[in-house]
Amino acid sequence: MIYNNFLYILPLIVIPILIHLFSLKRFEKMDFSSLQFLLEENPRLKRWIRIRELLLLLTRISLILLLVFAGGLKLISFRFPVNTSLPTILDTSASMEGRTHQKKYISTFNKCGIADMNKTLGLYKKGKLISDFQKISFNEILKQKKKFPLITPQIVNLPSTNTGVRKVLVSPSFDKKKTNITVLIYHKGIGEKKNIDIKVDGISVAKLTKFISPGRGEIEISATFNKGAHYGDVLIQPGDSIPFDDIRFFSFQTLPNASFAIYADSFPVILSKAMNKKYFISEWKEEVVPSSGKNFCIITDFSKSISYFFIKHFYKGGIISITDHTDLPPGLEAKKISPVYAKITNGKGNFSGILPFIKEIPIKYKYRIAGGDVLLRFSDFEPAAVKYQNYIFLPFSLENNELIYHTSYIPFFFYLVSEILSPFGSQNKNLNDTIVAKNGIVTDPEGMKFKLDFSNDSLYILQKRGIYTIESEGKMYYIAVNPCDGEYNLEVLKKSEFNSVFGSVKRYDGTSFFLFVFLVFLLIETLLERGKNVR
Amino acid sequence: MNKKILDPFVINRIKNFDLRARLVVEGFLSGLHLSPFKGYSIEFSEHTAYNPGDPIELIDWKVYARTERYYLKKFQEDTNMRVYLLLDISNSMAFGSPFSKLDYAKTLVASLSYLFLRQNDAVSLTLFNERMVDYLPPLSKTEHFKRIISHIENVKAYGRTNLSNSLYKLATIVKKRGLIVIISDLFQNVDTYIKPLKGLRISKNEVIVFQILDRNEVEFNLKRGTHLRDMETGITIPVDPVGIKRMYKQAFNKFLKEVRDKLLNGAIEYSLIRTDTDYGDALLEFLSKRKRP
Repeated sequence: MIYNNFLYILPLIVIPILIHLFSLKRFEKMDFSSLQFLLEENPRLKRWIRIRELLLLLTRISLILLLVFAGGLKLISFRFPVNTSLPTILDTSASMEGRTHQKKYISTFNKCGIADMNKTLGLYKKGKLISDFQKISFNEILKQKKKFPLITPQIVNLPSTNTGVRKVLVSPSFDKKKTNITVLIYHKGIGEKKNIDIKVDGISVAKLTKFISPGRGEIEISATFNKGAHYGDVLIQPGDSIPFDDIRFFSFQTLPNASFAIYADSFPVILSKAMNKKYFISEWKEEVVPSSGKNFCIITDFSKSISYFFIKHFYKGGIISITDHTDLPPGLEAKKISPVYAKITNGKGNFSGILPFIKEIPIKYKYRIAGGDVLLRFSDFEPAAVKYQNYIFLPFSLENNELIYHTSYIPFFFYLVSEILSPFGSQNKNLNDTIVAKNGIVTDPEGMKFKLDFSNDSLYILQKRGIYTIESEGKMYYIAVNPCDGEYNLEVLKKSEFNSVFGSVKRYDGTSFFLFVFLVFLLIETLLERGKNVR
Repeated sequence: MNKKILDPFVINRIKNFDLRARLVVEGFLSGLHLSPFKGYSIEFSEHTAYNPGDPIELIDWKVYARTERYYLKKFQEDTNMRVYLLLDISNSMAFGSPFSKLDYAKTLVASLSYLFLRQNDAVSLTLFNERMVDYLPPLSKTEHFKRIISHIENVKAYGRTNLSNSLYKLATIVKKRGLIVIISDLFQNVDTYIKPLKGLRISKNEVIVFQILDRNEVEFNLKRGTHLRDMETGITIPVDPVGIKRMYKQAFNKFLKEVRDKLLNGAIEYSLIRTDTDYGDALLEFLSKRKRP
């Protein structure tokens, strides 16, 4: 245990030293052969000397005992009474995993790592909190100006140097076409050479030595992969990062090559740009005629009526923006409503993962879709993307003004494309936060197995960093799990913020208390040693 | 007597104790026109047959009365007396400036040793604090002086004063009667050592006690605002020397009087010697206390 509060009273040690030095300066100390004549003639002085000797003995014994108590708390499991009835709250956020090089506080951290301090401290208003006190964990508390004066904080120090992978970005990946992998590295401390090994599916795709400067750095490699799901791992050697700050695992899906027929009244400028030639072959069609050699279709802002049976006959799948003229398949209905602006969510109020920013964009939609599998919902819970067989139906235009100017447009579009392409590439899914696979057996990174059961629409949070293997309906899925990168190389609470939450009142635990008493006794001992003036 | 040479402030500047002793004794004797030691230590040793020409006054008439033969009394001059020097090396003896009581006492011991060995007396040395620390058996050889010097030369003061322990032990060692000289500050309750001293007297030993004291112990002329640390107990007390001087002197004089009275009552020769006393005077003091046989 680290008792930082003790440091506040440590400077008090100078008091007896100052008294001692002051006394030395003031009086000349002289050896005298015998003081028995003085003492015999002055019984009061003699008595005082005896008492003083006794007190000195007791004080010195107490000093030793106090030191033993103070230092031996851990060894003899002795606790100052104030702690016995109060809970010890351990911050189990990811950042606490191996926060100091000497001590590992927790072996399994929470997903995303951000400790819900607001909730925890609300439950336990008294006790000791062991945490690294990262600001991100206390944002809510600071915002609400909450105070916890009865919580005794115990600070776990952050390391001064740290190198780790902050994020791995993978460009859209298509069968046997070049895929770019960008590794973002963050380095704290003095720059140094590091060996970097990037593996995909356990096979090294890049090995390089690079001088890592303090701050952010990037490594970009390109490689080709077969269609299907892949999982990767970036290893930096020599490694000095704490596990939490090394987001080394990543996964991606390589899609089959596809060619698209785009049905639109006018040339879809933005959409065409999104469908980069590097990845797709596309052809714009103004009329309802099949496009030879194209196996997928996109229909958006198309005023002509086009039969679902027609497109199903010519294409394996597609994305269809609903208009008044859209011919919907049986079992799917679209009711026209007054235009509504709403944000897209995944239907459960959050959207971390593949589309982290899409939820920020209010999109105008005009149709309420009923039926099919809802992939995405608006914040008003209306379907935003519905999958029916291998087609995705959208209640808004793909050339939607709010959408096309947003940086999330291309990732969003790729998300839709991957949804319709993946059944033709691999059954493996590239999932991030939650498992939405059907029932199956999951093997976690430590080899522990557990059974998934989605009958109650439960969410399974993958808490451990590493590669999860999911066995479902005879097929294997691989999922790379990292904590949220939002908690990377975090800042601790400032002193003023710390004091505003926990108060500036000094707190003393067992060790601090005994050390404080020790100092008091040391002062008494010094005073006794100096004695009392004899007149 | 060369006063200047025997001044302790002069003598104690000489590092060599051998030289110190020789200087003191030779200086002392040269100043003393008549040796008080003449025939002093001669004791009967054995009888030898009378030969013509031998001095008649040495014939032992008692033996003649018994045996009708002439025998001469033979007087042994080599080991005619045993002198036991007891030197206190307790911490309190380290007090004193510019030289300590122990320094003074060491020179005195060396001088007495030299003096006795010079006239073929056997000299023994005992160093003591709360116990007997070192003991040299009595010997009268000239080389013995060097042994005594080597034993006192580098000895440092330590421990507390307890004379009685050493006296009891010495009583078991002293078989023949002799002269016992104790050199100490006697900072101990006199009742604790008077009994063994009397015991030695009863055994027909001659006992002389030299109490060595520093001027400051007697006069208590200390500076103002001084912290005093008892050199033996380690107790430190801050004192106002001016305010406490009267009280101290009263107590100290009471202590001295008690020591003197009790020793003299026990037929023990006592002499107080301050460390600023001339060594010649100290030796003279010694001789004046000596009893003739």
